[in-house]
Amino acid sequence: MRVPLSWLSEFIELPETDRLVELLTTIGLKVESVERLGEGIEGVVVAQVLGIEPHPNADKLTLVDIDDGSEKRRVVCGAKNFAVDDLVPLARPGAKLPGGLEISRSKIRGELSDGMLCSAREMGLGDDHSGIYVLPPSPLGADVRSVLGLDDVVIELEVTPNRPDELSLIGIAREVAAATGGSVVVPEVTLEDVGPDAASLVKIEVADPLGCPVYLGRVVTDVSVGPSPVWVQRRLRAAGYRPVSNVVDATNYVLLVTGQPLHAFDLDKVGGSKIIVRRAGSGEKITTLDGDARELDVDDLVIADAERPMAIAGVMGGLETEVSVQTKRVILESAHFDPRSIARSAKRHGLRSEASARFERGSDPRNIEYPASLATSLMVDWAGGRASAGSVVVGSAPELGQPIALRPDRCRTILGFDISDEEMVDALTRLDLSPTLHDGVIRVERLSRRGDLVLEEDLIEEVARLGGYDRVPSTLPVGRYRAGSLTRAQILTRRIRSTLAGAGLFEAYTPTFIGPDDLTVLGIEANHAWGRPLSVTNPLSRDESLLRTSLIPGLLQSVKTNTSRRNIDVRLFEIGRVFHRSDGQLPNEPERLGIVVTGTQRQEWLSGERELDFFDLKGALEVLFSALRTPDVRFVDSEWPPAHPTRSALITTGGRTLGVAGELDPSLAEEADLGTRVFFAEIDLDVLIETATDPQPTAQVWKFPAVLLDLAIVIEDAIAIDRILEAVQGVGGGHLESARVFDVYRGAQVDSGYRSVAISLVFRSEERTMTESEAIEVRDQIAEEMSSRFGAQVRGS
Amino acid sequence: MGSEVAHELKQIEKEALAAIAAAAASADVEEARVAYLGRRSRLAQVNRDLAGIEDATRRSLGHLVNEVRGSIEGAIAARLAELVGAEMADRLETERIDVTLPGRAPVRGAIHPLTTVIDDIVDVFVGLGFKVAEGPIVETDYYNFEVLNIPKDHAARSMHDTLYVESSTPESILVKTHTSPMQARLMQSQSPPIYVVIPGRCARRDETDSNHLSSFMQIEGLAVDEGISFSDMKGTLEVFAKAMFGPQQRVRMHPSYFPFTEPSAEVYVSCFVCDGSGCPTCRGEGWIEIMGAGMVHPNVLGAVGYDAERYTGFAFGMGVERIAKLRYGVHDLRTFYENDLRFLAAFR
Repeated sequence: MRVPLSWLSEFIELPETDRLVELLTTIGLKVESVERLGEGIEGVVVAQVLGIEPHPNADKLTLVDIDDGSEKRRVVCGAKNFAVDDLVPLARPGAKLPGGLEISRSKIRGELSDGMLCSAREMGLGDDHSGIYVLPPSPLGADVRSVLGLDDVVIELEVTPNRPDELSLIGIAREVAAATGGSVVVPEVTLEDVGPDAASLVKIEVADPLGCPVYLGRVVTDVSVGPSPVWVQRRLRAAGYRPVSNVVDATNYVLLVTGQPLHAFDLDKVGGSKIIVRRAGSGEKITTLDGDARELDVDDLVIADAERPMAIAGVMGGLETEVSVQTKRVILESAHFDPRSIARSAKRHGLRSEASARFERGSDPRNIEYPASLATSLMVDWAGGRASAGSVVVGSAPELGQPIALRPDRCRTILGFDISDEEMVDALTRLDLSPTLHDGVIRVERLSRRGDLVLEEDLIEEVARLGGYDRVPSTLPVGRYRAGSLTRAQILTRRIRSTLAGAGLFEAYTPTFIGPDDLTVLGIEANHAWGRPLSVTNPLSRDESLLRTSLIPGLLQSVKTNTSRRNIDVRLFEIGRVFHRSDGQLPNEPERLGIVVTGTQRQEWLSGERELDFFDLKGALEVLFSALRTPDVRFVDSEWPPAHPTRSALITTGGRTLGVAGELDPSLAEEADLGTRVFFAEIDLDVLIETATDPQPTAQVWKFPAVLLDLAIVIEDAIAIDRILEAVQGVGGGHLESARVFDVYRGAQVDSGYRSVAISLVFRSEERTMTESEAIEVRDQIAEEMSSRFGAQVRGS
Repeated sequence: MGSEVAHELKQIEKEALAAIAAAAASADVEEARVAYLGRRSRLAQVNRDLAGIEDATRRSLGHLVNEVRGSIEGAIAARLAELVGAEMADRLETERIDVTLPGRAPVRGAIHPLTTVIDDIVDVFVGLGFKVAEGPIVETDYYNFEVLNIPKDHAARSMHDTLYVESSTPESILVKTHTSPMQARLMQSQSPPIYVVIPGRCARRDETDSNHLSSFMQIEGLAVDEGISFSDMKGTLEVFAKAMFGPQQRVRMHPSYFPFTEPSAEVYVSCFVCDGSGCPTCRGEGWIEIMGAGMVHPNVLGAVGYDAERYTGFAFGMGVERIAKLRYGVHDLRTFYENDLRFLAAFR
C-alpha cells in the first residue's frame, strides 16, 4: 500500500517522517520504502507536442517534435498515448531521473533523440509505465517538480493479510492514532439529493445473500465524464493508481480513503435497469475490464443485469457496462461479499485486483454507506453529476459476535512480563475497542472493521504491540529437565557427510524437482525404479514438473554445469529424499545418498594425469562403509540401467541391498551431453544407517609378530577377485589374518583370457610366534587350492 | 723368539694404524678391520702361534697381543666415527628436498555450506535442550494449512504460492510450503513438553531468481510446555542469535502476522556485517530480518488436542539459504544449488 503522507495527514496529525516510520514499524506496519517524490529528478520540464511522425526504422517508435519553451526539439518515443498540443514531461539532455539515470542526446534506431519523454514510473511516480505522463495545463519550460507537486513523501507499507482495514488511509490513520494518541478526522459528507429517488431508477435483487450479505446502489445522473481535477490525478498517481476518468477516479479515491471497493456501472447499459447479485450460470461468459474474455464458473458470484453478468463480484467489472465518455448516468455499487467466495473467484481467474485483495481479506460490512456517499459527492463535484435521492440497500451487515474477554493475568503469563491492567485497558481504548474492566476481566466489543480480533490471544497481541515488543524481556524456558540430543541416524548422517568429504567428494544440493527430459535422456521408462515420478499439477516449468525419483538426474545436471565451466575432476555427493508412489495418501520418501564421479585427476609432480574411473567411486564407498563398519559389503556384478551393462554392481550388506554403483552407459552419457565417462552410485541411506555397526569392544590386538608372504597366480579372467579371496580365506583358516590383492596384470606375459593376480597374505598366531615354514606350508595349501579349484597356475614362489 | 714376536706385533700395529689412518671411507676401515683383526689376520695367526710357547713368555706376549688389538680397535672406532660423521653429513647434503613443493595430500572434498548452516543452527538448539525431527516433504493440505489455522480460501494462503502434487483429490497433496506442518504432526504424536527443531525442504511456486528459489530449506523450531511465554521466545532466540552470529549481536522483534501464531513477530538481529551501523547487507538499517516467530495459536493447540489453557508454546521458522547467504556473503541464492566446484571448494 503506497501512502502519500500529504494525503494521510488530512486524517491524522503526523509526526515527522522518520518518527512516523519508527512508530509504524513498532506497531507492526512494516514500512517497505520511503520515497521522496521528485528526489533524483533534475532538468525535466514541461514541453508541448508540435507534431508526431512514424519512425522510419521502427514500427513501435515515433518521432515527436516538441517545444520546451526555449527551443524546439525532436525526440524518439516509444509510447503513443498523447496527441499534438498535449503537454508532456521532457527530460532534456543532461537531465537526471530517479535511480540515477542521466539522459543524453543519442541515436535510437538511426534517429537522433534530443532528450526523452517520461512516463509516471520513469519519474518515480508509481508503477504506471503504460504511456507518457500527459501533464495538466502549465507553462512551457516549467520544472515538472513544481507542476506535479513533487514535494511529497510516499511510504510503502506491507500490510499483512489479517489487516484489510490497513489497506486504507483512514485505517492507517487509526493505527497512527493508536500509536501517537492523536485522533482521526473522518471527512463529513453532505449530499444534496436533488435527483429522482434512486429506487425509481434501479432495482436491486440479491439472489445469494450468503455471498453478498449487503448491497447498496446509488445513482448519479447527469455526469459528464472527463479527466479528474489535476490534484486528484496527482494523488492517485502518488498512491500508484492510474487516473482514468473523474467517475472512476472517484471510486478509486474513495477506495484509498476508506478501504471499501466501489464499482461504477453505466446505468444506460444495464439491461432492465436491474442489478441481480447471483452465482453465474453454467456457460456464462464475461469480458472483464482487462480485455480478457472469461468463462464463468457456477461458483463465481456475479453482478448481473436482467440478461447477463456485468461484473465478477468483488473482483473486476465487465467491459460492456464500463463507464465511458458517453456515460450520463452511473450506478455506484458499495457492497460486502463473502471473503471465501471472492478468494475462490480471484484465484480461479488468476485475477487479483485492488478490490479482490480487500474483499478476500474481509471488508468491513458496516462500511458501506459512507464510502458510497463520499464517492457520490466527489462525482457531483468532479463530474457535475446530480445525486439521486437516497440509495437502494438490500440485506444488512451480519451481526457482530460476542464481546471478547481478556484476563489480565493470562495476558501477563503469556507475555512473560508485568503489565498493568490499566495499561491493557489503555491500549485497547486507543484501538477504539471500548474496553471495560469488571471483576478482573477486561471485555471489549467487536469492531466490524477488525474481523481479526476474535480470541483472547488476539487482544494479547494488541496489548503487546501497542506497548512495543522492545519492552518484552528476555527469559529462557524453565520447564522440566531435558537433554537435547541427536538421534543415532542424525549422528551417522553427519558422519557420512564428513567421511565422504574427507574422501575427496564435495557435497551438493540439487532441487527437489526434475523434468521429464532428465529421465528420458537416461532411457528411463515406466518400468524402471525411477520411472514413475509424481508430477506437480501446477509446475512453473516443464523442467520442474516432476518430483525426483533419484538423486542422479540432478547430480548429472551439476556435472554438466561444472564441465561446461571447465571444472575438471568432478566428485559430488548429495544426501536427500526422493519420492516414490505408494498405496497411501502420501508418497514414500526414502532418503538417498547419490554420488557422481567424472573427469580427470590432474597431473601432479608426484603422479601423472589420470582419468577417474569406477574404482575412484568404489574407493570412496569403501571408505564410507569402513567408517560405518557396514558388515559384509559385496559388490555383485549386475546389469542395472542406466549403467554400463558390464560395469555395474549391486551393493549388498549381509544380503540386504544397499544400492548400486556403476559407470553411466556411455551411449547415454554421450546423448546427455556429458562428454566423458561418468560414474555414479545411489545408496539407500536408511539401510546404510540401519546396518552400520558400533566398534566391537572384544576386538583384540594380538602381540605375536606376523609372517608376511605373497602369492602370485595366473587365473582365468572370469573368476572374480571376491571368489578367489573367499577360497583363499577358506583354506587359510584361523592363522590367515588377511589377504589383499595388490597387483592385477593382463598383457604380454599372460595368455589372453587370463590375468595374473598377486595377493599379499598376513599370517599370525594368537598363541605364539608363527614360524616362516609354518606359514609357507599354509600358503602352499592355498596355492594348491587355487590350481585344483580354479585351474590357476602358481607363479614362481 | 719372544722379542721377534714382539717386534712382529709392533709391526702389525704400525701397519694397521697406517692403513686405518689412510682409510678414506668407512668401507676401507671395515676392510682394515678384517685384514688386521679378522680370523685370517697376522694378529690372529700370532695369537694362535703363542700356544706353542713356554708359559712365562706366552703370558707377556698374550698381553702384548691384547694391547695391539686394543690399539687397532681404538683406531678403527675413532676413524669410523670420523668417517661416518662426514659421510652422513655428505648424505644429508645430497638428500636436500624442496620443502615448498606441494605435499602428497589425499584429495579432500567439502561439506556444503547449507549443511554447515543447518548443523550450526541445530547444534545451538541441541545445546538448549532441543531435539531434531524431520517431516515429510510432500504433505497434505490438512497439515500444511488447515491444522495451522489456514482454512481453504483463507487470504493467508496467498502468502504461500503452493505447488500441488498429483492425487485423486485435486489440490489435497502438495510440496510443503514451510516446515510448520511437522509442528502439528509432532504434537499429535506426543504430549508436552516438546522442544524440537525441524529442518526440511520446502517449495513454493516462485520464479527462481537471485533472491528466490522454488525449492528451498527452512528450519522450524517448536517449544511447548507449561508456562512458556513470549519472553521465553525472545530470550531463546536471543541466545540463538548470539551463538550463531556473534556474542555482541542484539535481537529485536516487530509485530507481524502468521495464521498459526498469536502474538506473532518478525525477528531481526543486529547486522553482523556492520555491527548495526548500516551497510548494503542490512540495506542501511542496521538490522537484518532472520525469521518469523510467535506463540503457537490456540487454534493450532486445539486442533492437535492440547489443552491451550495448560500448555503454551512458541514456534519460529527461518530460511536456511537466506542465513547462508548473509553469513557467506553470497549474492545469488541459485549459487547454492548449482554446485560449482570452485564455490564448493571454498568451504573445504
